[in-house]
Amino acid sequence: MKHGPLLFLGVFTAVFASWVAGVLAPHVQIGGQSLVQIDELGIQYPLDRTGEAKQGAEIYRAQGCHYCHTQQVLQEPLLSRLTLTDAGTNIAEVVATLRKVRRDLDADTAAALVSRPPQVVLAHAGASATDQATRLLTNAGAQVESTIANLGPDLRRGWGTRRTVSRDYLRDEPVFLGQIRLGPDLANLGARQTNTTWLLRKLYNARIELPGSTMPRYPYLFTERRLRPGQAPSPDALALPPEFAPPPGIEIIPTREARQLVAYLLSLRSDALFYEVFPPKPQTTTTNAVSAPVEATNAPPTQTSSLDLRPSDFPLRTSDFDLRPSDFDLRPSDFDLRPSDFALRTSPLALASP
Amino acid sequence: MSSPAPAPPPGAVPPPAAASLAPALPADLDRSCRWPVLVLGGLSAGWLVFAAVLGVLAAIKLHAPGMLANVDWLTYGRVQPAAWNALVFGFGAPAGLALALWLMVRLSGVPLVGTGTILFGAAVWQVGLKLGVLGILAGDSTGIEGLELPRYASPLLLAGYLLIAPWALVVFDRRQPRESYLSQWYLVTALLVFPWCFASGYVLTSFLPLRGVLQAAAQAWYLQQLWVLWFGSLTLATVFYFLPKLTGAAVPSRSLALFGFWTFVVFGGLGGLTRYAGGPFPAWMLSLAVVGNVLTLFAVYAVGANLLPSLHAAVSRLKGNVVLWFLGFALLAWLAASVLTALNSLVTVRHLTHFTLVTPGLDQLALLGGFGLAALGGMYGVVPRLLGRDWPSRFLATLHFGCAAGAVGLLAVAFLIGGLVQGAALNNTDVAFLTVAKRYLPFASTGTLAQLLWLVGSGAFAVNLLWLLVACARTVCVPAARALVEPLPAEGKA
Ligand code: HEC
Repeated sequence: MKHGPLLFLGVFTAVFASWVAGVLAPHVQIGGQSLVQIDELGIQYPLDRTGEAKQGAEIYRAQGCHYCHTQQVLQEPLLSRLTLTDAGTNIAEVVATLRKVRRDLDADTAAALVSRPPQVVLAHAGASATDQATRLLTNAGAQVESTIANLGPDLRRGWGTRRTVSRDYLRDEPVFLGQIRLGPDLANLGARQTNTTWLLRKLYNARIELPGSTMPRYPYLFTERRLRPGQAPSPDALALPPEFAPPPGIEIIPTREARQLVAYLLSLRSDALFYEVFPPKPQTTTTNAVSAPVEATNAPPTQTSSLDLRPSDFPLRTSDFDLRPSDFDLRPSDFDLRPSDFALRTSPLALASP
Repeated sequence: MSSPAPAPPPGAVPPPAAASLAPALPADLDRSCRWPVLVLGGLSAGWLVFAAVLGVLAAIKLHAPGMLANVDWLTYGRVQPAAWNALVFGFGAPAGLALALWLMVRLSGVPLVGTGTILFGAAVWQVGLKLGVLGILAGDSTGIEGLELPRYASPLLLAGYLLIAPWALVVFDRRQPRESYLSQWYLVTALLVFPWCFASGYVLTSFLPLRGVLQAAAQAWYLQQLWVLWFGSLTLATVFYFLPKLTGAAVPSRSLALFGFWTFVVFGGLGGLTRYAGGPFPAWMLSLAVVGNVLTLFAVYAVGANLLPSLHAAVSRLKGNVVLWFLGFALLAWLAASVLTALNSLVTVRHLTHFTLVTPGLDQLALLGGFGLAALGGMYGVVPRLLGRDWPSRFLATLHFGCAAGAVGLLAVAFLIGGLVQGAALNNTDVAFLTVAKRYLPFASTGTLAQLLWLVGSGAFAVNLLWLLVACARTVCVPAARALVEPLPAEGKA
């Protein structure tokens, strides 16, 4: 090859292309994401941290906690379990509808299911199948409940109630996603651990709360203070079990850094529910219970149009729409996802689209 | 490009008679780049040892959580990134630059220009890196893995680089036979990629940070360029220069080499996001990364098919050649790391290996095993030519190879197996987290042993180099000093 300039140009183009794909395009796609307005709670999610917690994030950064702890919860595309909780009054209609939803059921089995609620109707169904089944069954007068079927190891470990999405990190600077889990994921630590003393003890010596723990100690985030004879112990002093306690006359006081770090740890939670975290890919295939996709023939004509356009059809373009997460049932605590509400209220959204 | 007159290398030994006019005598070429290469190489040897000490410390801290816990400077979350930066920017980049300068000069057949600027650049780089590593230990890290250097340090590194690397491109531009070699293509790639990814990574995470997870996307892109297109290119440039030289067999297929090079350049940079597979990113980004990683296998095949046969044929003939050991091992490690990385990006595999020791295991295999051994092998080949004197201790060189290869092998095996064990335990939610930790710890402890081996090897190399330099200094200085002092005592005694 005699053409130096061509070599330069080729390499340049290749690297530029990968930069466009890896950095620029994602920025164009999600760089303008807005905070999520949650009207019921009058908040914008993610919540801004308090000043103390923000400084705590700096302590977290400086100690390099993220070399052992991730802050991201993974989950494959969401699958739901739909349970019939009450058949209502029009049993025959519900049985007929159920047989539309579950083609594999014969009339007797369907009737048996309907007669003894609660019964699992769909075990692992994608978002749109669950939506349609919910709509059909509730139109027939039954009541159904939808829960998450595929928890995945992260959710089952209690590290979160849902996967984390890019909006969860809008306020983080820097972002501590982490690449390795030598310790547990901390994305939702504040949701499962609200005890300041517990956290302070964990930092002072992780083996106080969990014998045999391999987490490093951070004694330098605490100061030892000698009590003068007769002096009352400070209310700030860390309460320690006898085998970890300092000699009498000395108390362990958390430094400001330790308190800030704990404030930050308490602020860690990404469990608010909003539009983006629900419909993953338009995946309607089901893994076991449903043999055929549900038909929407039963739906009134006015609703058919809104049925066609469902949020899962455009998962990447949420920002194009005037997004009103307040339309969705927000239950962060029990994570009681109700696709019925969700699906029905997408119609204003669909209509608003060009 | 402007090119100031070549600064005469300070302290150059007068050329052997009759060598002055010929355009491209290897001895002239070597002399033109002697000081930059020696200075960069010597500094990188020092950092190699320092990084190994930090690496041992970090590894010990993983399984001895109470050790030195009182010293905030030495907490795991600071020693670990300090070791990484010392290794990558203290040893890796300067050693890579030293080899790049030498290879470029040799292959282009023109002497190096800009020696003074290069030495100045090396000084700027060193100042920046020292500030940076101290900053990390003091708690000033930026908090982005791989981009930890604080804001007061990273620009110095870039400035240092920009004072050094362009001279290699100037030399390439003036190359005497207009024909160019495969090694030169890889060098040009490496030299162009580094400033770009370094600047993009640091600017988009610490100077004008992108929002939220986009920082992580910028970081993943940077790491991929750094690992594959910078270290990978330098590894391949070195291997493609030395192996055919040593084995005496030319690269068999030029078109295969060309194909391998372009697939490497085009696909090699795409795979970064597998680090965050399943994370909070648009799904297409991961798909692209997987495709990139898998397509890079074409390049891996091309390199392997071109080099392995001749290596295989020469092994028995060149049993005693330390340089060949290093480069052969580096080639194998690079091939293994690339194949495993492609494998690891597949969703089913990733499901098991995500967030485990496999990630650092593969990183280390490519960095220490691939680039590290290639660069060290290159040093073993280059330094004697620059100084006109062979390595003083063959034993130390052999020891170095044994330790380094052993360390890389041990580390890779321990972390890959340990990662699988860890992944299986993480995915099995009946296993409490502490038990997960107890299961991966033995493998992490093996990592300590590997780091210790690496340290011993690095120490052997540093001692050997120092010994060689002192010996050379003595042959140069002793006669000079004698010439200075001799007349007086001679008179006095007479
Ligand atoms: C060397 C790796 C390592 C580092 C560094 C580390 N941790 Fe840990 N951490 C662990 C391990 C292992 C566990 C699990 C055992 C336990 O709970 O004690 C853990 C557990 C925890 C827990 C309890 C989590 C839970 O779900 O119960 C918290 C909180 C925590 N770490 C916070 C921190 C903070 C804050 C830092 C930084 C100051 C930090 N860790 C640094 C390894 C580490």
